[in-house]
Amino acid sequence: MIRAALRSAAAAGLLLHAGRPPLAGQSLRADLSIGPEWLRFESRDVRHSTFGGRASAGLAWTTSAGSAAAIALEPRVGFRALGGAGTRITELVGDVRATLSATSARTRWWLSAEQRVRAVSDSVPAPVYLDPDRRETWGRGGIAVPVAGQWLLESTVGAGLVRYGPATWQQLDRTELLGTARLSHALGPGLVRVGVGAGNANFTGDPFAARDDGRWGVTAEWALRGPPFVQLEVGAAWNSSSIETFDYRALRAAVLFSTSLGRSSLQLYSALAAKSYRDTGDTLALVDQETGSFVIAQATSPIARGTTLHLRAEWVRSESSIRSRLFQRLGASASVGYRWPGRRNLTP
Amino acid sequence: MRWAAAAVFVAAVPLRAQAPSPSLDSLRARSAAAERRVTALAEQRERTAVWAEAQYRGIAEARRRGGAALRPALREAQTAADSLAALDRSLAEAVRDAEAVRRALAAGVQAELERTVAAAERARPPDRATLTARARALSDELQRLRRPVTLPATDVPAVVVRPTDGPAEIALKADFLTDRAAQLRSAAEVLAGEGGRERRRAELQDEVERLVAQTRLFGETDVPPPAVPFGGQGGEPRPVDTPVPLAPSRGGPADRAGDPRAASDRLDRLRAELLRRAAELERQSGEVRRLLRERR
Repeated sequence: MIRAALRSAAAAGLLLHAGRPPLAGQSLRADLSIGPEWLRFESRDVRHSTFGGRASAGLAWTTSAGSAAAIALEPRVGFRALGGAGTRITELVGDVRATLSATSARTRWWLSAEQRVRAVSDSVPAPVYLDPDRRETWGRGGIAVPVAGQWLLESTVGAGLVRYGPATWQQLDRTELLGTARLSHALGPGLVRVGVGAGNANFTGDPFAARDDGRWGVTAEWALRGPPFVQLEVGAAWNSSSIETFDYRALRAAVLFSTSLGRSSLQLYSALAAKSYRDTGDTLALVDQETGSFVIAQATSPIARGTTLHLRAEWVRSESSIRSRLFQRLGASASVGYRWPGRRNLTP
Repeated sequence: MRWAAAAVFVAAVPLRAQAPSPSLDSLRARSAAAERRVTALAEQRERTAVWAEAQYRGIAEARRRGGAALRPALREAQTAADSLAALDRSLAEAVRDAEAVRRALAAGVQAELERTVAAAERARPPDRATLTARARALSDELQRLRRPVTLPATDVPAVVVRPTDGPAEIALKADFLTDRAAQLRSAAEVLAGEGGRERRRAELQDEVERLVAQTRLFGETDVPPPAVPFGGQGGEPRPVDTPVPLAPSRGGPADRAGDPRAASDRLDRLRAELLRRAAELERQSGEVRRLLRERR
């Protein structure tokens, strides 16, 4: 899949370079972003500031497959380099997703495959925290059908393999299965969605401590196309593990917001989470980083056709590799983003 | 022997030329059917154009009424424009077919004419007159077939000025055309505003999608597993990594109907169509006014 992504990226690059539009029945969009970044990590009263930069690029190529079906290929890569006070960290990430989707008079279905990889330089001194090397492979499928009244039922199933690079993390290697069912309905100018989901994670990396987790969740969401663009979500989840240390309950509220401000725009992306382990003892256990609260605020201003300046501030408070050990991160960045094909600037 | 065969052939030619060729008859029937189809489609297009124009004029009225009236009016206008565009495609295809059949028929008639003329030159006087008349008929048919297939003027339903119309009637007709053009221009203004709104919506959605894609790529938004089962159709489990669905029955990867980018493109195309029709009505109005000046 990575090879296929590289091939498609090369083909897309040639098209972009030549300035030619994609072939009939196809669409191609690309974006590139690059800029400096400052991050300050904090854990247990130890602070560490880093300065560096990051870049990312993505393509979205879609082609029709028959009159009602489409195939989409979406590769994305990113690179980050951080340094400061004797620290030198690099992070390389990649994600490629292929989707086959089709729509009929009443039904819509899709199948997708996704591969994600990340590689981080060996030495990441505390309190700096970045997720370790990891490979993930996912397969998903879904179907949406209208049901009684104006309700729409969306059901999805998925399966994934997660494999870690560092030996100490391999006890979190796992296979995951999950399924969801959501009902949507128009509500006022927006759309409301309620859903339930269930999943299973089978940890295969530690032969001496077999672990099998069952997970359940409920969620409610309200979304408005706008402008402004708003999405609100609240949810609750339960994790029941064959090892009691990992049993927990969690609540979360999330918001995604985007509004125009003259020719510029503002975005807010945030989630606040509360997680409590049933076993309240101070157990040292390695966990996947999955408890996080964050607030990301971004101002976007056009500087030329298809080119924008992004100023971004962020706060993250999240569980590190050790159960209930939290780290905090503050960040600020500026980046120049380029999109192809470019769109007209915002008009008030 | 060879002379005898030649005599039989020469004698046979007038007989073959007089008898209608079956393939020519079949081509004539096909050509007539193709032209009937063109006429039927052109008439259907004319009726649809009248209906479409009424829908277009309804846009400005719906904006004046305010509330939720505009969206259905836009939808109706879009449906009307789509119907007209589909009819245009069918009509163009029917004209192409009719011209292809007409060319084949013209080639057949040309060959038949050459044979008839040759036979007439060799024929005895009583037969020659018959063959000459037939050649003339074939020649007339060939001239008609060499003209391209024409359509009735259907682009904008015409307001006809009759010889019996007085200055007051002619002025009324000119005003009527001008009013229709003004209504279409007013609807185009509404579409321009709506198109701008859809473009803003697309910009905001682009920015949100890019922000979510970047944060997801670097794994910066890990959240606890309420999100695990709710990651949307294609993404890793995340809280809100699925862009906002656009309507209850939409939002799938293959369904771009609710996409603001596609919506603004559709509105732009509809606006261009309205402006084109308004210009045509203004041209007609100008012609009627010119006629009025001439009659005075």
